Amino acid sequence: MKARDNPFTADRVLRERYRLHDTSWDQLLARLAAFRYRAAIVGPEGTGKTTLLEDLAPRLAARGLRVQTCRAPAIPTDLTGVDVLLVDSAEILSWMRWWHLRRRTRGLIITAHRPGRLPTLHHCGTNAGLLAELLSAFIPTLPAPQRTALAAELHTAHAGNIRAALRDCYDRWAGSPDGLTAPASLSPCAGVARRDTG
Amino acid sequence: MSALQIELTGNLTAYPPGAEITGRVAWQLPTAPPAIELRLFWFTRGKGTTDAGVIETIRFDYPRPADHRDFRVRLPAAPYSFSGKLISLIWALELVSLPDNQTARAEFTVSPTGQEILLEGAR
Repeated sequence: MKARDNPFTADRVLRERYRLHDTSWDQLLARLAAFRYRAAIVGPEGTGKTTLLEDLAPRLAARGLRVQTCRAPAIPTDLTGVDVLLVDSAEILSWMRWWHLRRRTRGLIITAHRPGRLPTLHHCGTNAGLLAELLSAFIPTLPAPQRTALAAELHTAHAGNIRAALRDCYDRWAGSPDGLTAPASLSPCAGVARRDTG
Repeated sequence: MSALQIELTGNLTAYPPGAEITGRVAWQLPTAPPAIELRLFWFTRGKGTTDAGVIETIRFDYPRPADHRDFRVRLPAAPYSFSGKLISLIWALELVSLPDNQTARAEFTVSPTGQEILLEGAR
């Protein structure tokens, strides 16, 4: 399959936004306000922390807050007029830089793999059901039983890392002759063969 | 008619490198936008991060809410349109109303043969 026809291209994956399941945006924002806009989005790699952080920014701005986003270690030097700084991957900051950042900011929302630096606002987790739901958005023509089986296989294979699972899908679909036919690697037999020869 | 529209002369879908592209753009918007831009550009799509290059921009300042303009742009000698399993390079014209970024896009092939170049594995 040509890259342009692959349903799992990077730009398509990036268009997918965070799906809140166990709470609502209003609840999340109320919780954030209760934390005085100093909180952490926590979760393992590939579970949507950055996407959730990105999705928070316009919602905070809609509430009249002046928001700036950045990715550690590139922290802006001038934070004048910033009500809430959103920092992706804050845990890579040294203890000293983190200490300074905490002192320089009013609102501070970070993403981190582990809890501890700030109160946890939301824990990002994934399951095979969520992946199956995502797959239905990318490949609506794939029959539900195949999609469910694929989601279960990928979720296990990538230890819940949705980003890695979708990249895996890209590779599988790249081997498909067209955008309509599911790749041969979706057949359960192909999966067994891969494991046997791996 | 949709809000923004691009018509290529002769409804062509492929051009040789260096060719001139002519056509007409039209728009029908509820209010007059500050500006409308027509952009000639290429972009990549595939497994990795998207790359893009804008070749030419034609700006229509203070247009009426509903109007049309003829345009003429020239393609550079490269890059050609191509596709592999990991990356495709796609050429397009995009009409954008500012500042709300409503868009219409017309994709086409740029190649000496009229067909996009297929890399090994994408055939």
